[in-house]
Amino acid sequence: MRTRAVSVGRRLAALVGVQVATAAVLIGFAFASYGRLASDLAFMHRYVLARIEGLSDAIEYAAQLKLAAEAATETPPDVLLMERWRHDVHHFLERYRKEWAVAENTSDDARLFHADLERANRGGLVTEEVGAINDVARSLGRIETRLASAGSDGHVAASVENDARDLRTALRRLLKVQVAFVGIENAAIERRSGETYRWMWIIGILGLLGSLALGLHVHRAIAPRIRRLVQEVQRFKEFGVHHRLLEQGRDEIAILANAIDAGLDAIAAQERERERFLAIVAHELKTPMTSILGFTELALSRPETAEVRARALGLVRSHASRLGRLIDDLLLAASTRSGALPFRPQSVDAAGLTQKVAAEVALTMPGRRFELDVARGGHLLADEHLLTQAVWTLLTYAAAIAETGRVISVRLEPAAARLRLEVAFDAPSVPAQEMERAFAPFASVEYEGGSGIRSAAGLFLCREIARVHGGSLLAMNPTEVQRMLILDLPA
Amino acid sequence: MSDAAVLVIDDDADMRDLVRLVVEPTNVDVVGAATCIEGIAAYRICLVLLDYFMPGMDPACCARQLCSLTGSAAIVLCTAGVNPAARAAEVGLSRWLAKPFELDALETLVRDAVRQHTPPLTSEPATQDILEYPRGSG
Repeated sequence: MRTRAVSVGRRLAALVGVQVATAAVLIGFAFASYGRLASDLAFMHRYVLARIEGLSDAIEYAAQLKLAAEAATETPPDVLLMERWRHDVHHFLERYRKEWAVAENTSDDARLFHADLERANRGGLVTEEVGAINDVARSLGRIETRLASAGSDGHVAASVENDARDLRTALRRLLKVQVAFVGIENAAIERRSGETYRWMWIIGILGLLGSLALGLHVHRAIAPRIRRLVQEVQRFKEFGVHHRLLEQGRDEIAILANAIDAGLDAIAAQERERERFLAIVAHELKTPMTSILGFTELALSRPETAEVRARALGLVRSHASRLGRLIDDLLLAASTRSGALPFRPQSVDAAGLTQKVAAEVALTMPGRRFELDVARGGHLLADEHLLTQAVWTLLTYAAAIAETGRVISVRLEPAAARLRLEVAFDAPSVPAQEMERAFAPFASVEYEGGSGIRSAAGLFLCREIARVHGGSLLAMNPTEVQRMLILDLPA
Repeated sequence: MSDAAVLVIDDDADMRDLVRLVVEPTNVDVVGAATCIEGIAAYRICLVLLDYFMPGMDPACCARQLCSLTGSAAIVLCTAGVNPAARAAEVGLSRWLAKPFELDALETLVRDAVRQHTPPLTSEPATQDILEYPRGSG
């Protein structure tokens, strides 16, 4: 399976990142475009339209000047009024040169406009503008000279007519240049708007495609694996069978899958252990039942045979004790699992209880030999039934895994308001981890026995009984071959 | 000495004694064996009662060897385990006797086995019949 190193969080972050970046670029682009459009419109208003307005007035003044000059041949001219019109045109020209003349303007707007002119191959318009301005200036100069020498002389005033016509012609040329400028600027604005529109579409589509591709990638990277996890959990729920998901990599889903694998493995292992435990329990219940039923049936069918009758009774007695313990073990283990272990404390003679249980275990496990050192054990506050069961489980387990023929040492050791029951034995064939495994619920151990029982319940119940007494159960390996179980209880 | 014998391979001495007490009054010998190796050395066998759970013994391996050595003997898996049919199939046997069983069932089993049994020409076990067996789960 392919290794997945990129985390799901990073994939999602990349997806969101692409979407945010696309939105940011589009918003930025929209703001920039809006700013540029506003700048273009401001330029149009400040320069082009204001120039045309000024030019219209100037043309009007030039026309009035020409009409006054034409009328001067018949009536005395109003030279002052004519001078005022000239002055107004002159004022317009000065302002034009100072603020509007494209050739002399060095503002950012003017530079952009120059670029637009070059792009439109209309750079010659600037030369035309300069020529028209110069013609306007020359006409105004001549008119100024003639009006200055005219006084009330109607002849001289009449000679202004030609210059006024030249002035108006030059102003019209300038107006045509302005109209051409408007056309070029408008085309430039339209071009820029179109470009903005296209780029916004391109960025939007690219962002959308990027988001879709990344989203699909994230979906493909996540959805099938999540579905597989769900299917596996569902299959496990329905059939109790677990096939490992084998997710490799370090992303969150791989971590989740591995956690589910581990969880399902643990559940399956517990289930197997439980089934194995139940199978052993069933076996342990049915094996003595075979002897009990067989011998009692035989005794009933042959009442004259005293030997068979005695054997049957003996079997019933010994197996009943063992079966009773086994059933108690099951019931108490079930109570422990449900958190309802009954606890009724009373004063218990620890030495007497240990001796009694050891004798009982020795009876059912004739191949095992116990060596007791319990003289120092006193009384302790405990639930006698539970403690008996715990010691029985402990000794049975020790007898189960101890090497055949070796002594199992059982010692009671009082220590500072506590009492320790130490069970030591040699079990070289049992690894230390096997002892740990015995603490799992429903753990069991099989061993080579003589007649009778061939398995023992694990130490889970024993540890729980120790816990409800405020004590503990420890498993130790003092040497390579020696194993020790210590039941530590408050005295 | 009878021509036929029942072999009981079971580590439970009570079980071996029970079979002996039930079967011997029918003039059929009972050979008890606590392990498979002990059982293989037996002879004149018409019926083998083979326990499933025995420490240090692989029941399938034991069953295979018994099949090849005992010839016409009926081999019956006798177990207190759950699902004895599956256990029998697991070790390659078609017959089983679930523990606990009624004594009549055991007697019927023995009678049928004796009736169908063909005695071998020799009554001594061959040397090569004594085999080593791998240790199993028991």
